[in-house]
Amino acid sequence: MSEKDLPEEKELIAGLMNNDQLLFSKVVKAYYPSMYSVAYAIAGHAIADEVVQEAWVSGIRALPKFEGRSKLKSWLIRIVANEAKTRLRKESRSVSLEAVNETWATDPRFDNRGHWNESNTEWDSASPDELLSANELQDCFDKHLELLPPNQKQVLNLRDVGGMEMEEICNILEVSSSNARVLLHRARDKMQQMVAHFQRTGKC
Amino acid sequence: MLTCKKLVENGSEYLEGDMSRWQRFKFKMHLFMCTHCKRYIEQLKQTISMIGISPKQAPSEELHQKLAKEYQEAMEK
Repeated sequence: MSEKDLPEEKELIAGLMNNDQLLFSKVVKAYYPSMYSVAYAIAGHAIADEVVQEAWVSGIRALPKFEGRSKLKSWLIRIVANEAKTRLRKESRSVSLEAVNETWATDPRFDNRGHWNESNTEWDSASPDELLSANELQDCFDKHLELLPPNQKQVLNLRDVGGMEMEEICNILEVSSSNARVLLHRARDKMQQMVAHFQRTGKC
Repeated sequence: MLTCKKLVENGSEYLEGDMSRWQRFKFKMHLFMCTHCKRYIEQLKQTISMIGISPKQAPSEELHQKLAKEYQEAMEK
C-alpha cells in the first residue's frame, strides 16, 4: 500500500470523515513509513512506533476539525513531529542539535583551486525508483542514512521524507535557519556521494 | 568567480530557490558551462527523491488494529 494507491485529497478526506474503515486502514499503511521516519529521527527507535500511535490517536480525535488548509499528510507529519518532541522533553532528553562542526575545508573531490579532481560519472538509470530497486543499493542507502550524525538525520528526515517547511523544522528542532540549511545539505551531499560511489564501483 | 566546490557546497540552496538573483545567475552561468556540476545538481535532485521514497517500514498488525478500533470509536460518537 503506497500513497499512489490512495484516492485524491478531497475524496480521501470525505471518506475518512464518513467512517470509511477500509480507507482508514489504507491511509495508516501508506503514511506509516514517513511518519515513522520523522518520529524516529527526533525521538529514536525505542519509542518511534509509540509516537506514531499517539500522533494518530490525536489525529483521529482532531479529524472533524481538520480544515484542509494543508494536506492531510503534512498535517499528520506535523502532529507526529510535535509529539516526538514532547516525548523527548518528558524523558528529559534534549534534542541533540550540537553546533555544526564538520568542515568542508578538505574535500578530496576538489583540487585547491576548487575544481573537480575526479570526473563524476553518469548514473545508470534516471529514475529514483529504478535506482533504489537494486537491493544492494537500497541496503547501502539505508545503512548510510542510519550513519548520519543525529542532527543531520533530523533535518533530512523532516525535510525530505516528511516534506516539512524549513521554518517549521527550525522551530521544532530549535535550530537557526542557517544551521538547518547547512545540516540539510551536508546530509544530502553525503547521500549523493554514497550513490555515486556505488554507481562507480558497484560496492557499498 | 564561483568555483565548482562552492557550487557543490550550496547545491541545496540553489535547488530550494533560496538565493539572491545575482547568486542564482552566477550558478546558472556556471552550470551552463560545467558538465561536472550540472551532473552533480541532477544527481542531487535524484538523491533527494530517493531519500523521500526510501522509508519502507510497515506498521505492526497490533498498531493497525489499535488504530482501527480508535477510529471506529471516534466515528461512532
